[in-house]
Amino acid sequence: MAGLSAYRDQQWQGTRGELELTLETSCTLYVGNLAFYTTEEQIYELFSKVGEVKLVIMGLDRHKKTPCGFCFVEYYEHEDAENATRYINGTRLDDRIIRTDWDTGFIEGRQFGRGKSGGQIRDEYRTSYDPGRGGKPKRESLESSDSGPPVVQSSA
Amino acid sequence: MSRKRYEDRDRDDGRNRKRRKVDLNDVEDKLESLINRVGEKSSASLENNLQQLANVLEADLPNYKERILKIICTCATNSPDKISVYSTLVGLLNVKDYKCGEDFLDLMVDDLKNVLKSGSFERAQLMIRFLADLVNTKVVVPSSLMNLFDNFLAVTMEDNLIQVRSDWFVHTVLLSLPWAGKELWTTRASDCERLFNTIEIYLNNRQKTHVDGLRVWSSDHPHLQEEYLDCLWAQIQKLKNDNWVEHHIRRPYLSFAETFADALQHPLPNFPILSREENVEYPPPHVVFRMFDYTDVPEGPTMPGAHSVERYLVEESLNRIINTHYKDRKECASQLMKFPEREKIPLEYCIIEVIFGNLFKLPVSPQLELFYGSLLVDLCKSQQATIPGVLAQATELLYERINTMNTTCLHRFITWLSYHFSQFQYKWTWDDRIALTEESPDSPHRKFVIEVLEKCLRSSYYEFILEVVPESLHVLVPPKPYFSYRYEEKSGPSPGHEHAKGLVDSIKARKPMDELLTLVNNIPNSPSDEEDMDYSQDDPRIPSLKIDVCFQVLLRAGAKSVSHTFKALDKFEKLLRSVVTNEEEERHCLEVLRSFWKLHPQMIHIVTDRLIRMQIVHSGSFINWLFSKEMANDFHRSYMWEILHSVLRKATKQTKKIKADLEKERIKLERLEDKHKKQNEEKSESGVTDIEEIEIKRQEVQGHTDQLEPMQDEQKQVFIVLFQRFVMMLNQHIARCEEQQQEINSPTFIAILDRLREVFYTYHREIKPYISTLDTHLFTSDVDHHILNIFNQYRALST
Repeated sequence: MAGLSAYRDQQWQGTRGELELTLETSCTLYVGNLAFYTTEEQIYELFSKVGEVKLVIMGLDRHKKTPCGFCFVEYYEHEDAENATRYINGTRLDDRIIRTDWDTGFIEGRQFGRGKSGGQIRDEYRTSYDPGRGGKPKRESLESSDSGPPVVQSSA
Repeated sequence: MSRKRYEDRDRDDGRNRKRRKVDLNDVEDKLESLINRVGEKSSASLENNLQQLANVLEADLPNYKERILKIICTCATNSPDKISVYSTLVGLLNVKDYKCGEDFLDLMVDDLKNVLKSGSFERAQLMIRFLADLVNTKVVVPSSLMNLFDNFLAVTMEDNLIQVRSDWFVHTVLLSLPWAGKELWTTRASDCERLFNTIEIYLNNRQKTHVDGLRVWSSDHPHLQEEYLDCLWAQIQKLKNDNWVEHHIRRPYLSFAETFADALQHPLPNFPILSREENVEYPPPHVVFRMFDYTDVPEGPTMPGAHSVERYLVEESLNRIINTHYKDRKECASQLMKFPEREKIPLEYCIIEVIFGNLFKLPVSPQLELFYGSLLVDLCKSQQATIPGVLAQATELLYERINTMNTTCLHRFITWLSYHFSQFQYKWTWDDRIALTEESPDSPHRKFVIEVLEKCLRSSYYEFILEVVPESLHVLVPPKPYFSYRYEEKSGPSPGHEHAKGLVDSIKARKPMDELLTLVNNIPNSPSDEEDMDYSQDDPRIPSLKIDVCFQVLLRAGAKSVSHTFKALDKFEKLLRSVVTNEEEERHCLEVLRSFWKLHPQMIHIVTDRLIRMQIVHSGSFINWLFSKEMANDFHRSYMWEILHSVLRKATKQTKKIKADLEKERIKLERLEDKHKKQNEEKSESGVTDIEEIEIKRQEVQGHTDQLEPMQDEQKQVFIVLFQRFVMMLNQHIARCEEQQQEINSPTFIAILDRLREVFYTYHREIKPYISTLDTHLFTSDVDHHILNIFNQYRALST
C-alpha cells in the first residue's frame, strides 16, 4: 500500500485505531490544491486513468456554494485509489501540483470549506497571491475573489 | 530447595535464554547485512571486500552454516545484478570448505524447485543463471551444467510440443550463456557445438504465428522489430563470434583465478524437468521494441548495435529497475539514473527506449499506462538538462512513424502524449503541425493531432488550449464541449417540444412520480419527428419520440456537471426505466445520449458507464450499438474504444471477484470437511456443531456458485456477441472490396483487425475458456484468412 501520509481529518469522531483501519481499506481520496476553476469533468478525466471513478464531490465555499479548491474522489476499488496516490499525487492538474490523501469516505457536510470565510482554512493563512485560488489571501479581503481562469503566461 | 530459590533459578534461566537468543539474532543480522552490502559502492576494492567477507564467514561457518548459505542464496536471487559477486563469494567459501559448496548447491536447487512450482518463471531463470555462473568460480563441474542444458533442450524434442513451454527452456539456456558461455566453450567445445545446433534447429522450425500481432510497427524500417528469441539468439551468436568478450558484466572472480585453481568442483544436484501441466501459465512471447540506433545519438558513448549483447543486458537491467520500483515513480526515476554502467552507454536514450517499449508492449503493457507517463514526467523534472531533449526527439520519431503503428499502440501514444502535455503547459512544436490543415481529413497525422487535441481539451479548459495552439491550427481543435438539447423553447414548436415542455413544467412543479410516469407514457412511441434530427429518417432504428423526449429532458436537467447528471438519473430512474424496456430501446437510449453530448465525448463515456452500472443499459446492447450503422463515423474514434473497454472491464471484473471468493470458500469447506472426517475417525464428541457449520458453509459455496454461473454465461455471451459483430463487419468489408475490386487491406480494415486483436489480448485470460466454442462456431475454416489470422495469433500466445 502506498503509505499513509501524515494528514488526518481533525474532525474524525472515532478512535485513532479505527481511523487508521478505515483509511487502509478506503476507496476515497481527498484531493487538495485544486484551482477554483478546475471542473468535475477534468477531475474525472485525470483520476479515471487508474480505474473507474464512482463519485467526485467538489469542495464548496460554505457561503457562496462555489468550488473552493478541494474535492473527494471515490473509486469502486481500493486498489484503484492506491494507484491514484502512486501516480497522480504530486502531478499537475490545470498546471497546479495537486496532492491526494486517503480519506475515510465522504459524509454529508464535509464538502464545505471549514474556514471563517467559507472556503478552506489554508486560503486564510497563505501569504502569497494565488491566481488559481481567488487571488489574494481570504483573510485580507473576504469579498474580492475572482475565480476565473488566469491568463496564459507568455510561453518561455 | 526453597520455593523462592527455585523461582529465582527459573527466572534466571529465562533471562539467559533470552540473552542468548538476542545474541544469535545479532550475529545473524550482522551477517545478513554484510552479505547484502557486498558489491555496493565502497572505498576498498570489490576483490578485497569479498576476500574479507569470506574470511569472516569462514569463522562463522561452523555455527551458522545453514543460515549463511540461505542468506547468500536469497541475496543472489534478489539482486540479479550482483550474481557474479555472490558466485565469487560461494567460490571462495567452497575453496575453504568443500562440503559447504555442496550444501549450497543442494539448498539452491531445492529453492529453485519451489520457485518453479509457484510459477515464478522469471525468478527461476535468474537462479539458473546464477548456478551457471558457478562454473566460473569452480563450484560446479562444467559437464554437469552441460547436462542440465541438454535436459532443458530435450524438451524441444517432445511430442505435442507446447511452444511457450519449450521456448522457456531455450530462453533460459540463452540467458545463462553470457555468463557461462566462455567457460563451457573452453572446456566442452564439442558439446557446445551440439547445443548450438539444437537451438538453431529449434528456432528455425518454430511457429511464428504470434509475431505479426505483437509488433508495434508493421514495418521493419528503419529498425528491425524482432521476435525476442530470434533477437537474443543473434546476440548470443555474435557474442560467441566475438570470443565471448563483452563489457557489461563485472566478473570479480577473474582476480581469484589462482585461488580457484585447486578448488574441488561439484556436480549439480538432480533437477527434474517440470512436467507438462495444463494450468501452468508460461510467459507469452514478445517482440523486441527498437526505436533508436547509433545515428540517433549525436554525442557521447555510442548506442550498442541491435545484435550486441550489451544492448540486451542494459535493457534487461533497466527493465528490472522499472519492475522493482513501479510503486514509487520518484525512486524509480532516481534508480534508473544511477545505472552503474552509465559512462559506457547513452543512458538517456536507453531509458527512453525501454520505457516506450513497456508502454507499447503487446499483448498488454506490464503496468498501468499512467505509471510510465508519470515516470517520464519525473525523469524530465529531475534531469532537466538531458531527458527532455531526448524525449522530444523520441516523440518526433514516434510521430513520424504513426503510419505503420499498430492501432492499439497508436491510441496509447495519443493518451500518453496528451497527458504529458498536460504536465508541461501543453507546450509542443505546434507550429510544425500547421501544414496538416492542408491535408485530407483521412491523413493519419491530421487525425492523430485532432485526437490529441480532443484529449487535451478534456484535461484543460477550452480557452487555455486555444491560447497555446497557434491560430492557424484552430481549425483542427474540436468545438467547445457543450450539450445539444433538441427541445429548446426557441427552436420549437413541434409535438416533441410540447411533450418536453409539459414534462419540464411538471418536474419544476414537483409533481409526484406517478403523474410524471403517466405523462411520459402518453408520449407516442412513433419515431421522433424532428426535421433537424441527426438520425436518418428512413432508418427503422430511430429512437422513439417517447425515449427521446424523456431522456433529453433528464440529460438537460443534469447538464451542468457530472454530479448534476447523476442526481437527475437517480431521481428520475423510474421514468427512464419505464421507457427503456428492451434491447432496441437500450440502443435508442444510447443514441439519444450521443446526440445530446455529441460535442462532449467524455460525457458520453461517463453516462454510459453509469447506465450500465444502473443496469438500464446492458453490455450486449452497447456492443450492438457500437457496431451499428449509425456509429460508422464514431467507430474508429478513441473515445468509443475507451467506453468499450470500460464496459468489458465491468463485465469481467465482477465475475473475477466472485470466482476468487468462491475459491476461498471452497478451500474453507474442504478444511472443515477434512477436520470432520478426522474427528469421526477418532470418534470424538464434537461432531454435531461441525455438521451444522459444514452445512452452512456448503450453502454459502452453493450460493456463490449459483451467483457465478449466470454471470459467467452473461460474460461469455458478451464476448460472443462482440466477436460475431467483428466478424460480420469485417466480412461486409471484404465482400464490398471484392465487389468493387478494391484492395482489401485498407487502413480502415487494418484498424478493425487491430481492434479485434486488442480485445483478444486485453482479456486473454477471460476468453481462454471459450477458445473451443469460438473455434467450432465462429472462427471456423470458412472464415476469411485475414480474420482467422487474428484468432490464431491470439491462440499462439498460450500454446
